[in-house]
Amino acid sequence: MLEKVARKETKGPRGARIFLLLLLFCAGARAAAPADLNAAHALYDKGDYAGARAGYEALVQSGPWSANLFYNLGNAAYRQGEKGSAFLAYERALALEPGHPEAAANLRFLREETGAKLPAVTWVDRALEHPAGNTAAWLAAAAFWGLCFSLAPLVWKRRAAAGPALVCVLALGWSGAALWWQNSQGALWIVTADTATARTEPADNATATAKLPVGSRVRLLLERGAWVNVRLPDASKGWIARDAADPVRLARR
Amino acid sequence: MKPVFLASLRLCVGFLLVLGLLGMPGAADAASASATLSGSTAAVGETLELKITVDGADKITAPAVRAEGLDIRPSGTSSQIRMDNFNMTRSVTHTYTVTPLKEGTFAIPALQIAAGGQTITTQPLRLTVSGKAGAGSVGGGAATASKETFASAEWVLPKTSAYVGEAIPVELRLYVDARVQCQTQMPSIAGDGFTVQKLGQPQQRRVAKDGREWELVIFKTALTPAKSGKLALPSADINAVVVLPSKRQRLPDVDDFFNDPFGAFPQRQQVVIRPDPVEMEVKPLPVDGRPKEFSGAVGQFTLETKAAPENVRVGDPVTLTCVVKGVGNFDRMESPVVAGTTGWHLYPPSGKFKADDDAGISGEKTFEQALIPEAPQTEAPPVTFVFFNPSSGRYETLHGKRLALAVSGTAAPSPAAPVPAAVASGAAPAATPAPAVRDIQYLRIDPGAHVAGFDPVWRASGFWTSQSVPLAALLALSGWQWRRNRQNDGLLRRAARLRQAKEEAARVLRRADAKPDDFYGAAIRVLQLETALGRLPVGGDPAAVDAEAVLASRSLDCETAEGVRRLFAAHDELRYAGVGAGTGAAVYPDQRERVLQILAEFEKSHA
Repeated sequence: MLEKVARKETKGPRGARIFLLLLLFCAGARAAAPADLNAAHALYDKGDYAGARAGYEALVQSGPWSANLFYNLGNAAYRQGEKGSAFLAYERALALEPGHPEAAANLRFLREETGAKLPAVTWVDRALEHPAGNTAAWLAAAAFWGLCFSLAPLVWKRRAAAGPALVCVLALGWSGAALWWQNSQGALWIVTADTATARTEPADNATATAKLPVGSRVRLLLERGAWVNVRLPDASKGWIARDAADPVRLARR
Repeated sequence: MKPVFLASLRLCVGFLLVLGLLGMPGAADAASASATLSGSTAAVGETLELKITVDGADKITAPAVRAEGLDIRPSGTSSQIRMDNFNMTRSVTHTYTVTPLKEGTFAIPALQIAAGGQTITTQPLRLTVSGKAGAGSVGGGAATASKETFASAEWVLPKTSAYVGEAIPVELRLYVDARVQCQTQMPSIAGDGFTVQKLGQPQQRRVAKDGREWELVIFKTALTPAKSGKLALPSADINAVVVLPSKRQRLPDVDDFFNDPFGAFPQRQQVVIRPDPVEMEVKPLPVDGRPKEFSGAVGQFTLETKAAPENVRVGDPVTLTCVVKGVGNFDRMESPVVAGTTGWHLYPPSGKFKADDDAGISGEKTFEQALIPEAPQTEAPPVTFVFFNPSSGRYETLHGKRLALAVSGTAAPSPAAPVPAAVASGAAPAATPAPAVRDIQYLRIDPGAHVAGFDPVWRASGFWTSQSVPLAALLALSGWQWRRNRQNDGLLRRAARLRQAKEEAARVLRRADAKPDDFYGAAIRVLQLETALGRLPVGGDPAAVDAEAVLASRSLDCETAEGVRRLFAAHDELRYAGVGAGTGAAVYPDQRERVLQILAEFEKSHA
């Protein structure tokens, strides 16, 4: 996606962008991150959304990452009219920080605007979508250690803390189930093209089964060349062009 | 406060209230009089009812009523008090029976009545008398009974000439004889050439018309001509259920009461009441002088404009509000035109109408429109509103006042400002509330918490390392403790066995009849077991402990140590002296005492 973004024509003042990029390369990305971030903010405030976006993307390239960084990148992309990129950036912000309020609000706003399709939420989804991601992992770890310390008195004092142990077992079971369920859903991809056509086969002349507006969520099942097999929001399966969607998880360079 | 005082206070307030209600209206209202006849036509010998009602007076003498060809006799007097918005009105009604004596048209003259120091006059009445009574009928244009119309309807228009698109307030009036029970439904209005506003709740009151009392029901609405020419007003059918007296022949030589057509047994009947057709001359809107901004508003209007917020940055939305007030066809009105939009990005407006009349043609319509400045601005774009004024017959243009704004920032490179979904769809109906201008949330300027990446933490080796190291430590600690527990358990079990054996030996020592070999054997065993307990966790057979080992385990004084040695020697003598040694009589008491003293000293000593 970043490569795709980099190919897009930027419209901000050339001098400001060059200055920003020089600043990034000269100062070293990690050390200068706050200053670069402020420079990107300043460009955004001046209405130079292309320059701001280039600044945010440079920070994404160099790291460190944060939910706020992707959120701001989404705002700049949105101001440029790049709704697909904005969707992706907001989703990434939420992936890094599931409770990010502004990213969630902007996603809702964009979904209302584009009619992006989301999978239907069942009671299982509601029960196991929280705690999300790393929170579930840390909760599982905490529950495990709580269970260890609840059972340790068995060795020393020949007596266990039954109540805390039971609580820890329940927490461990819940968070473990949430982790398993979240991991079994397949990687989350976002439709970044204006419309993605889902087909029965990985071919342009195959029967189209669904039209997915930009921002729709799909789950990756299989990759095959220029096509990806995904689970569509209506729980059916279909093939969409690989360049019509992007994964939310961004691999560290 | 005390209950007695409260009761007195309530009594005083009630008394003053009653006094005020009774005394208030009498002085305020002027007296008036009216005369009504139960019918305008009758047959010879048929009895009618004449009522003379004086409002605003309470003691009125029944005036004498005389008319040629009519036999008029007083039949009773009634008084009435009516409250209307705390305005109390008294009225006195004198009732007369009127019996025509011959055919012809007769007039009941105006009557002069003295009331409250003034003289008031009733209106004259006219009665047409025919030769014989006719049969009643219920029909289309109006409903009748006993030759009299008991219900009728009519259109009431302020004018009979209008322009296309001009909203004309009209009233559909339904008159129902006050003596007839009538349940009406809402009129069904249908016709070409007009659009009809929704009928409001009808108003009802009692009126006098043509010398009779009627229940008047008024339905208000507004008609808007859709085309020019001579157009007939839409038909309006009013379905009603009336309760009519049964038709019967007039009985001669019978009291008039029994011949009253409204005194007979009732008969329920469904009727349709329809007003007479009315035509209207509809003129087209003039083409000459029609501004290009004209969008169809016809009436008389005023325009108010405002813009908020007044201090924004480029790209931030500004809400332009235009309020059009007046009387006219608000349902066809479109938003005022925003001119000079260079540097602005406009979104479709939405409108909301608030009526202040029943017909829905008077009120104010508020238009809200989102504007996005694409460059620094100092004022909002100008607004104009063009409408046709039917009173003057000309098009008029209203200009909104200048709205100062402070738009800061630099010009945006592209008009990519957010489009609110409801506005962008362009489907915002004119009657729906204007949605608030929405936008994405602003930047998060703080760097936020840094994260390593998108992979879940449980996939990172560091996560498992950080968990496994303390887990290994915990497991090792637990294993060590478990092993230690096991060892402790073995020692405890061995110590328990030694203590049990020592207790058994002690029991032998306490027996008075114990044989010498048993006694000395038990004493030696106590020493050996006590020494073995003190040497734990070192194992070994307690029976192998000899005198030197016993002495080495404790710090004993010389006398006790010597006693221990002699005790072991005595035991050895008894063990190895041959058959019969030590199995004879019991141990001498002094020896017994001496052995027990040595054992006591041994147990008191420290290791």
